Amino acid sequence: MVFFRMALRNVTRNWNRTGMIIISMAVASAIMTLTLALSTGYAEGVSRVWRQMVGADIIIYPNRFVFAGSGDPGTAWEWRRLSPDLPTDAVGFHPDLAQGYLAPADAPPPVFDLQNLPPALAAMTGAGGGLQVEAAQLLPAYIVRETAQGKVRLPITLRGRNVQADIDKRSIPETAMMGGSYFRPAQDGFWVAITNGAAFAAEGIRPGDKLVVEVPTIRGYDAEGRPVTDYANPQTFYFMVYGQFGLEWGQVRLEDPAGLLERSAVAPTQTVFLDQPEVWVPAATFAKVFEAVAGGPQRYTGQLAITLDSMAEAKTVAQTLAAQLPDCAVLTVPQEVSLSGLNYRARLTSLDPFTVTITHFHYARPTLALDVKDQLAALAFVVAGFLVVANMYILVTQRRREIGVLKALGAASRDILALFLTETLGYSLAGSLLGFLTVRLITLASIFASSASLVEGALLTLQTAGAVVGLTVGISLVFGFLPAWEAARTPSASLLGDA
Amino acid sequence: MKPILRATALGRRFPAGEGVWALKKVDLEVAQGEFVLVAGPSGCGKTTLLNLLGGLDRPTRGDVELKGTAFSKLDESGLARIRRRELGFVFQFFNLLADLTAEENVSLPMRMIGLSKAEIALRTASLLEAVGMSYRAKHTPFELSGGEQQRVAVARSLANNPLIILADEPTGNLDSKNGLDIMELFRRFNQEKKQTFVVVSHDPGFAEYADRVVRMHDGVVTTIERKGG
Repeated sequence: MVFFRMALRNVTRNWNRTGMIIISMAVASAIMTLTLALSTGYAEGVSRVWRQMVGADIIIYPNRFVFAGSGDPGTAWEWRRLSPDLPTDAVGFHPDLAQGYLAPADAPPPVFDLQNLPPALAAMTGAGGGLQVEAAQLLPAYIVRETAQGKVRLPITLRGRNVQADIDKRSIPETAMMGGSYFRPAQDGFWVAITNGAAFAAEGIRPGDKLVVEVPTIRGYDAEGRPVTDYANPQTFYFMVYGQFGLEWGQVRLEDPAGLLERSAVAPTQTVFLDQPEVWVPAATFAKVFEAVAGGPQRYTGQLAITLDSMAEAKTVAQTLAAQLPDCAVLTVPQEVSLSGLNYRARLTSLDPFTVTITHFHYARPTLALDVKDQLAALAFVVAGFLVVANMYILVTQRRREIGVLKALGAASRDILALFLTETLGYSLAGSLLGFLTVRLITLASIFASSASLVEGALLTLQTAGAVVGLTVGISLVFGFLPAWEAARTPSASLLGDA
Repeated sequence: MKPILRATALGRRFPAGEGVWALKKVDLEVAQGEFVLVAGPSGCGKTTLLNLLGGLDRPTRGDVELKGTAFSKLDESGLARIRRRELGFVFQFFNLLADLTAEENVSLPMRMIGLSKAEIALRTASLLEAVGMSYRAKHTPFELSGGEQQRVAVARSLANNPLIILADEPTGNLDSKNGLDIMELFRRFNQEKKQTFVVVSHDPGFAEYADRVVRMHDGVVTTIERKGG
């Protein structure tokens, strides 16, 4: 007890030493807390780009999706080419675009009826739920170009963007990938468009060009809500190209052991979908186009999107929806990010016997974040760990004379260990809690401000606290113990002589 | 008089280079109440001898016995117990614990052996009074002069009524007046309390305080001079 009390007194008496050690510990644990937040919460770059791409935090697909859902994607999912028989969605859209998507082999092709949403969704979006659900705004279309060879019709996807939501929630105007060219809210409803720069580079479409766009007429919907599209009777719309975007995402490599690709038009490596030719227009502009070609507002969609303010809230909502909509794929942005880091194998059924392998994913921010996140986290942990180790080493080695004196006065080795481990425990507990709380309080404020589940927020906080405090204290005790043990076993004469 | 401390054929070799025998072969006995001065030039092995006598280091050969207990038979905790209860140390650089006040430094050895709070308070006050440091009881070492720190260190060495006090160059870091004061303090405790002292010093002037002067050179005892003869 003498040495426990002495340790506590040492901690509270020498405020210069105590302050320096606790601040160092706090910095280390703050690094750990931030690193864990990077691993478990939204990664800034990832969420930003993915929010741009998918347009929301939670995406609900009627059981078909470009990425794998639950189960083994290698056997349960198929690569499908689009055809007029299949409904449209955000993934592969246009029958004239040689694009496809991954879907379960037996996946039915339902769509969502916006006037008759599934009860679980209706409850969440009703007066009591308060969630804002957006339908994907997508239409098949063509850009009409006059060239030396005559009139050319380029198949495109026309996508409506909620400008204010993009600016507020998805930080689109700030991203380098947007090249600084995005709609202003005041342009909503105007005939302006931005184009996928990579997709249209060969066509020479540039900002400032006039874009002639033909949109096929929608004659109505079949019994399952699939659009009946009349490609022979399009309507023509004129847009000014306001800017360009680039959202290239991943590639598919076709394995071709029989060498059949050489005789086909299929390139052995294909980008999955994000350089497909898309033209974005403001949401209100899209609504005008839709009304013109369909004779009324959009009623059906293959994709619903929910945008939320916090990871904790997104997780809760996604889990609830997934439980209540068993026929739908419900994914949050981080889930998609996580899934996209995996390699999937799928049968290319329409081009047998080729096997499709999504081999890698690339492009600036998402790839950077995906590829180095773990290494960055590990590096940060190592740095933080060394900070703690250095602290402990200095704490003990600078006090070898003190240890020698205590031994001369009759302290046994275990007394020395008790003294230093108690001090270490005090320093590391105080430092790690200080660092954790400093960082976490800011996060908590944002979680609570976003009306996230308090329970979810609290659980996340406790998990992180346990990891950070546990690690800091653990490392401190180990690296406080080692030099203290070494010193405790060294003869006093040496300790007093060395110091 | 029957010796309470006996060193037999004590030797200590340090492994630097090809090995250096800092202490070659020393036999020494110290009787109860005796004041022994170990003198000699720097590097002659005085401090090494004192460290071995106090169980602060282990000999390469030979042994030390305190009241019939051989140090070689004791493990680390056994030696710690001996140091805690039977020995007191005074160092050249005082070695007070910087975070503790004077009275806390003095009371620390008593707390180690589990004395009651009341007894600790009484004895601490008495010891500080005896070394003339009552008025500095609440001061930390940084607030004390060298002489004052050494007085507190002397009081600390006496805390558990040790059999022997081992002092290594206790005046080496003090001016001559403070050095004399400390030696007077030792003599007073020796004469009034019959406290046994083994003091290492290279200052020949301190020979007059000792009952015996053990002179060393190159790791061996060259002469032993008794007072008055």
